[in-house]
Amino acid sequence: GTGSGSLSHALIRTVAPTGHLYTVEFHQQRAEKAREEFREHGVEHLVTVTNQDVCKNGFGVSNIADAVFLDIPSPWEAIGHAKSALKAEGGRICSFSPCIEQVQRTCLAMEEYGFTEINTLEILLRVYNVRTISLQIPDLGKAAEGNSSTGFDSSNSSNQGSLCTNLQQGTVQFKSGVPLREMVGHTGYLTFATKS
Amino acid sequence: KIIFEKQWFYLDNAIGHTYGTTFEVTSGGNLQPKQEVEESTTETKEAGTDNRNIVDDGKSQKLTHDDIKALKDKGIKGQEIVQQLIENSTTFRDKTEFAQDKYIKKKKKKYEAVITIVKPSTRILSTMYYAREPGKINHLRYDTLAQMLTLGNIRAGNKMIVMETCAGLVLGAVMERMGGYGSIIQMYPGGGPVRAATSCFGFPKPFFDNLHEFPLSKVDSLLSGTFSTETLPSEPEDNVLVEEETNGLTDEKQISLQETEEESTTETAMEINQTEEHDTMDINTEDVEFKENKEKENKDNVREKQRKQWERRKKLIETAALLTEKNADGLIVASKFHPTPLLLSLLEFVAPSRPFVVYCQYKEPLLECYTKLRERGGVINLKLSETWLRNYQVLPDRSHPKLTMSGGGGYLLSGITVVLDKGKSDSSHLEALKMEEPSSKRCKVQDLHC
Repeated sequence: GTGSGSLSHALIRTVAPTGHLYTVEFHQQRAEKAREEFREHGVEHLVTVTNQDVCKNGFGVSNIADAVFLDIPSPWEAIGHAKSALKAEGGRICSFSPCIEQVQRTCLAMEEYGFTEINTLEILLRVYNVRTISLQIPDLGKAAEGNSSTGFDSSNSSNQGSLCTNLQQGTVQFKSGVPLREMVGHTGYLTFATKS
Repeated sequence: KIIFEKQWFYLDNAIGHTYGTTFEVTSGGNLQPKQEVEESTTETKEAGTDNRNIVDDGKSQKLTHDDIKALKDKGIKGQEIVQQLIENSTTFRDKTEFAQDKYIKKKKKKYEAVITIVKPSTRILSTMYYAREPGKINHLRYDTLAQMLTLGNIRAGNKMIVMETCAGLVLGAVMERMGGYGSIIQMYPGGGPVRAATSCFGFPKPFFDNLHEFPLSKVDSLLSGTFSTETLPSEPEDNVLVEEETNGLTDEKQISLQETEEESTTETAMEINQTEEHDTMDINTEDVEFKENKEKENKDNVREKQRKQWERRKKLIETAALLTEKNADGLIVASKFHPTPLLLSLLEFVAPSRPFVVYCQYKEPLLECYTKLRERGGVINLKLSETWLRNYQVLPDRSHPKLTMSGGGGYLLSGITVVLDKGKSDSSHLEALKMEEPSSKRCKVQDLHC
């Protein structure tokens, strides 16, 4: 499932200079565009793009892959082909699917084809913005005899400890790693397994 | 005999089998390749519909601890024990099919001693360390490590600087990605680098040819131009040879001296053997010869120690030269130390337009690091992140996230170096700090040349 070729580039970077990537894309224009980009980026000797349906016709190689990655709508239909493309023992497979139903079908297929250590997980990237935050100190008034019982009086700097107080404005400043207001909550589930 | 997961067994029978072979532990503690057993799925098992009538009084299993122990001692296979437990459970057939599955799985895990031996890799070692010895790796979770390898663009041919106190796991991961190509300089605190985990990877010897190390305690002097090999970490300050001038000469001297020493030792050894055969040897002569041999032995030891020391100094100078080139392709930091001082100094050795990644178990030190880096300048694309990891149980009609998940796997601060414009006044940096930082823009790079 070459698609944009983004993952392919990352994989090529990882297996260079002695490894090779075989990538299959069933859409003819996308396959051609990928080939062009690999050429432009000077990595065409490290990758073979095949234009076919991996579910029907497989990867075009047998018994050599250290790992197979599937990013297609019906990965369970490609499990058998993935198995024959993988080396005899110890090869790894990973399937990426947005829907849990796809994951269920894929896990079942993996089991049927004798894969072991089947494990599904999801990973989310959380980014933080580093910000200096100023929080105002509330005005709780003053006790009648000027005996401040609260330790958070802005004029009582000895109580601040590790907080930086801006005495004039009655604020407290601190550094924080602030999460973004909205984050990507889901892209897909990753299912890994071993060919044993 | 080794112990693993409460099982005692000998590894002898494993030799010769391929990686990935599954063994059973026999009653004698030996390994035996496990035969593939066909699970009987054809017969419809008797099962209930729900647990409304099942009372958990702890008495449903008729076999006692002693009964089970007796079975184990008889050498009965784990599979059989599980079968016995099922047959002696009064509530088993009332359980739902799902509950029965769960019960069998649980008993199998406890009584079937099945071991699979796998080839080490970053994936396996990082998972094991995180599960069993997280303290040794500063709680670096395996997905965080994966992020580091990608953010750091670790690949064959790089000249990497690695500073870690993760038992050598991070170093091993970097070495695995580099496949023996390129070079790595490992910065280390104290007397020497810890590479306990690195040796578990099973790398071929050539991988270590381009692995260098350099003590952190010498970094300041290296940066300020006052570096010398006068004192090596945890070494006594003895008479030092001025290597740079007498390198060649000392080398030859050492080798020729060693050769003569070796020759005389073998001669004396032969003499000792001969004298022992003659019972009527004078004891005094023996004594003197013994003393002479001892003296020669001590001289040998001293020579050997000096030679090793000389080797160390030579390597140190070479590594210092590599660092002062200031052209490393990347920097990885993953240690128990506060990241800021490490980053600020080690970044000096990295070429511009190169990635760096810092791992910290806690977020706050990275907040400070971020701020200091902004003040320093010479970095872009600073990103503070963490990855959230969740495992799933995927079974027909029973799919859901697992009960427990890791609370945290550490934090990463990553960025790219740029040419440090020392001419710019610092006030512009301080201004940026006062204002709200803009959100990261996506830049289009027109000409992409690899």
